[in-house]
Amino acid sequence: MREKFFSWLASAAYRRAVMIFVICFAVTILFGALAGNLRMEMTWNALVPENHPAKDTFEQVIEDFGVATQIIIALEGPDRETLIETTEDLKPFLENMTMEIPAEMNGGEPDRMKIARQVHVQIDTGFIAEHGMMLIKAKDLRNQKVLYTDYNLVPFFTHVNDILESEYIQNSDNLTKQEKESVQYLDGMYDMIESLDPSENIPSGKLVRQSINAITISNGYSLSTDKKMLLVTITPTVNLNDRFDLTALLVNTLEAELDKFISRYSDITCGITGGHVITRDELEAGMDDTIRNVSIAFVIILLVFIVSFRMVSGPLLAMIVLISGITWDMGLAYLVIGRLNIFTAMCGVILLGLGVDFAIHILSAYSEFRHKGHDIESSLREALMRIGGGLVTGAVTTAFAFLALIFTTYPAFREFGFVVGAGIISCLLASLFFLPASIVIKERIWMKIRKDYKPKQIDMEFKFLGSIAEVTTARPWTSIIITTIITVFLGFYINDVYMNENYMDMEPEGLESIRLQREIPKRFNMSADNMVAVMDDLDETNRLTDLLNERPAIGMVESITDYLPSLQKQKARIPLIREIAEYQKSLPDSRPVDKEMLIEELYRFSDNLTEMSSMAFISGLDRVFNKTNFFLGLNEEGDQIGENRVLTVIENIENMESSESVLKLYQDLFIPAMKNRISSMANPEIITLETIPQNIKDRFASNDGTRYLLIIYAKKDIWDGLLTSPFVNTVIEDVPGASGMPILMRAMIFTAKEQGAMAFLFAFIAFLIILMIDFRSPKTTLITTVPLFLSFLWMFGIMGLIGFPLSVVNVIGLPLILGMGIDDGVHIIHRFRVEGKKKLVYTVSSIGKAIFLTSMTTMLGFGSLIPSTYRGYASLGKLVTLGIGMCFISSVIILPAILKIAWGGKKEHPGFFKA
Amino acid sequence: MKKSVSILLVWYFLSPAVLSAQEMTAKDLVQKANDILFQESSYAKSKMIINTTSGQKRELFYDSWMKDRGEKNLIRYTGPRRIKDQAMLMLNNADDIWSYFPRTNRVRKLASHAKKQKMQGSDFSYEDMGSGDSFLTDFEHKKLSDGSKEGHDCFQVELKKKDGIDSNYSRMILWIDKENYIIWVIDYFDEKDPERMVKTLVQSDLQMIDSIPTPMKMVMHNHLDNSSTVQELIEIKFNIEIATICLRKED
Repeated sequence: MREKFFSWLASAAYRRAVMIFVICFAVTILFGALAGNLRMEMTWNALVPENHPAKDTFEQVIEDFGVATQIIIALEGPDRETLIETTEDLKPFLENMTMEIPAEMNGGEPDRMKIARQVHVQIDTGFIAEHGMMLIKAKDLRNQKVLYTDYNLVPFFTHVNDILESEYIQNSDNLTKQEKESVQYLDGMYDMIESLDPSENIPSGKLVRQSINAITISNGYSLSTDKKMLLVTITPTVNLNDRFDLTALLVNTLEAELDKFISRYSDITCGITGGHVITRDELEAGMDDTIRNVSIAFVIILLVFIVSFRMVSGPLLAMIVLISGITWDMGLAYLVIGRLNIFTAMCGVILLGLGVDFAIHILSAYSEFRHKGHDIESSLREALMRIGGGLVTGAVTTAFAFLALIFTTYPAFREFGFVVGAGIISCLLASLFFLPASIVIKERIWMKIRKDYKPKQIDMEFKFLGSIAEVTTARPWTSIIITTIITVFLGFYINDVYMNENYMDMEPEGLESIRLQREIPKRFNMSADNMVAVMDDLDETNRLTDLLNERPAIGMVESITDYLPSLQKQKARIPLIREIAEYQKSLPDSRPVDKEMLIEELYRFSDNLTEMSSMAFISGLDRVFNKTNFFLGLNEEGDQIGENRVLTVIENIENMESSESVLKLYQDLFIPAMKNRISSMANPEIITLETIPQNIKDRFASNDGTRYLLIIYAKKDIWDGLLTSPFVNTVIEDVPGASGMPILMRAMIFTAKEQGAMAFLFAFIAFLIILMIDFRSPKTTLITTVPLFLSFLWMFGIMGLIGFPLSVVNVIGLPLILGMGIDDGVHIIHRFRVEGKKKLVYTVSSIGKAIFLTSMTTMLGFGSLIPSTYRGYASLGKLVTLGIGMCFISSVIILPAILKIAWGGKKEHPGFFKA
Repeated sequence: MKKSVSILLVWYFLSPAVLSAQEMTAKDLVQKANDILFQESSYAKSKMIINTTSGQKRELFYDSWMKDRGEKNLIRYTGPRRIKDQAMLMLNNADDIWSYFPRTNRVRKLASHAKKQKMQGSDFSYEDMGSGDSFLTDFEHKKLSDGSKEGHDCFQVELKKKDGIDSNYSRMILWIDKENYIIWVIDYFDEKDPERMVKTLVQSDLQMIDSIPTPMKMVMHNHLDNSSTVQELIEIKFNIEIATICLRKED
């Protein structure tokens, strides 16, 4: 049956060569035109399992609250003042920034639109100055109210110390639960201590106001612990659900304009990150990598082909045919799927590596028969009849391995399975129809041009492979024992293979957006990314905000309740606020400053900071630890590496003769200003949604005011250890409807793991069935799989040994290796059955060349991924190169030894050998 | 064959050791477990591994002294250098707690409710660390069905807080080894919601120290915070002479 088909195919290719060529060419043009319409969706977002409830929530949140996916602008500079000045200049610049939408992106009409829907440089301190006390918990108001009873410096600092000791040092839970508040408190006190220094400051209204702002409403800027990085966020006018090209245009415009802006400031640098920026970077890097990798793979494979066959025309034809096969596949991908994603964008390279194998086998066999003196038609017939069976079996098994992915529920795998599976079949068909017809036409043309044309002599054997087979088959049991020892050794390392869950490690290398994603958690002790939830009920928003703020894994929770506490809470606070307001009416007058007492209290303050620092160290509270260390000039070990600002101020007060009068002047300004501020903040008026400034409502409430946004930040890098992340676990457990990229990425990894394992199983079962149909023998089927099984053991062992992890991208290489790795064994056994048991060494040296070349081309194809900027691609390139290398070694070294033991003895095996 | 198996089974169930264990009341079991857990006195060198908020692991080393069956405890940190000689004294089953800070040379008494708080931010509370005989005195005991836990054949005993007792937990479930009365696992339930499991302590790495079976590793899993703290004994001595436990600056 098969022989008949291949015989017919050879005749058709010879007799109807032009017609077949024209049909194939026309199909290529048609499918090429279709492929041109493929959408490139090179983002992780596009790979999230469909129907995941968090996906819809996230898209809805993005639609309703753009603030959920902001662009973060990170300014780095020498000090806080420079950063704040630059930020104040930057704000109007960003608010007025526009981008030009070219006509081709806007239905033929060019347009101009604003970049930022909202620019956020600092929290609304005006609102806090008017309602601040209503935003403080009743418990804290009760504990802190003593602070507002006397603003003379000595009692004020005595009260500060009393509160520090009772609230934080003698109550370690508070330090843990209120890490954010304690850090804000320390920030304010740092500014106040700075302003007290009599040697550096002449007390002025402005200085005192700044100091009061710091301790009451904070400066409102998002500054890093070391005060050398400041974050500005913008809510872009294009949201993440919009078109990719608009997102890219917005980010590119913003980046270019920022570059221009920042060039005016010599000591400030600036970078951007966030969902939009990473999406743009993924898209650009993915496109660049795809084009570059395909080009490199094409050139390298062609060169290997030319060098191996020592001719140009044949390999060139084979590569053109291969490109046609890939084009057919891309056309099909457009018809069936409509897009390429991060995984399927690599298919060009994958198919170059896989599809070229068919051409290599056909060209090798055809050249061999031409060299032996056969004419074109009989050479084609002999070649196809000899290698066609193995070729089709190999291709179908590999294609089935990928097509089996269609039965998974994960769209990313389904698409990948379809594109590669269909691609293999396309390349096989192109090799079986287009290539023979092209060879015939080429040969006829050569014969017309050159009357003395003779096909080139090609050495179809790889003698060194034959020599290896000679050694391994001479003492087959020794070969098997050595292989077993190596396998056992590598087997010990298999358990060391781990899964790298951090998708940032898959992202392109050297990108500023990725660097900032890593840098921000370090500098701010808080992740740049977040999770979100939408609440219908204000009380529930309140409850969850409070609950999450107490959880250790949560860095910060932002919601409208930061500005709008529940009515019940507000009512509980009113009597305390009234009490504080009452104090302001009968505050003690300014008294002379008792320098010694003040110094005593400042020493006490320094000691309190030292103790807080030690407690924070033991409790693992990095934010408090870093802040107190910065204050005290200590490093992690507790060594004095910088200035202790409190002790410096004490020293200056002690050494300066006029310090007492300078401090009195400061106090005289401090008392009325503080009185005014606290009187204003101690406002017992109930806050309602209507009272809240519009910019806050825009951030946290839906337009109709019925739904509220909760933004939840982690304390550490959100992407580290994503699968077991306490942050994600906490949010999922506490907030059932929560969403965000961490949940979606986690769902993606879980699905990839689960479905990947299933796909692997499907593929393996498909192989066994196809091999059983092909060989009709369980023994032959089993032996065919031995090299593959060994290759996987070796590959995982080496991965464990060198610390090379699996990742969400490179796991797709596993079915790939399965599909390609089985081919080597299939080809050797097919050829062995044709050549007979006496020609085992010849079989290996002859088919070995084709196997060597197919393995080399596949390894080179995937090897071209290794220099990718997209590290996920690079890891896939490494994995497949390693896996295919192992498959080749096991097939040419151990399989011949097994064949010798199984069928090489004196016993006859008439059903096995075809000869 | 069947007959000999039956005889063996009867012999096993009627053997004095098994018979006595089967007959023990819940309180007897807790008493036995508590006797092993809290010797008259002890001295230990330990290591605690915590996760900092930015995700790093931090190892804290300390010496500890225990007296009067856990009623008095003293912990002195020996490393890292940052906290060397910082100390904590827990008296009256952790009702009274003091901290000593060598860098400032000050002693602080912790708030009266500190017993229920996290011990220095770890997943252990002061109550978990120094509650002495409270398993016996502060809780009512009930035997639940036996089972296997962490690979050990265990008795399961429920401890319910008595009225008027101030504890973090409304109830606890102790998994006590049938052979050596080691508590392998304790499940802790919320003070207000007895159905909500808040923490689980898992002990492992059993060693015989001075003929006393001693788990050298404790891991406290906090189910609310999704965090855990590991504590490992490096060295321990039981029933040593300790004259008094106190904080003295000169020490």
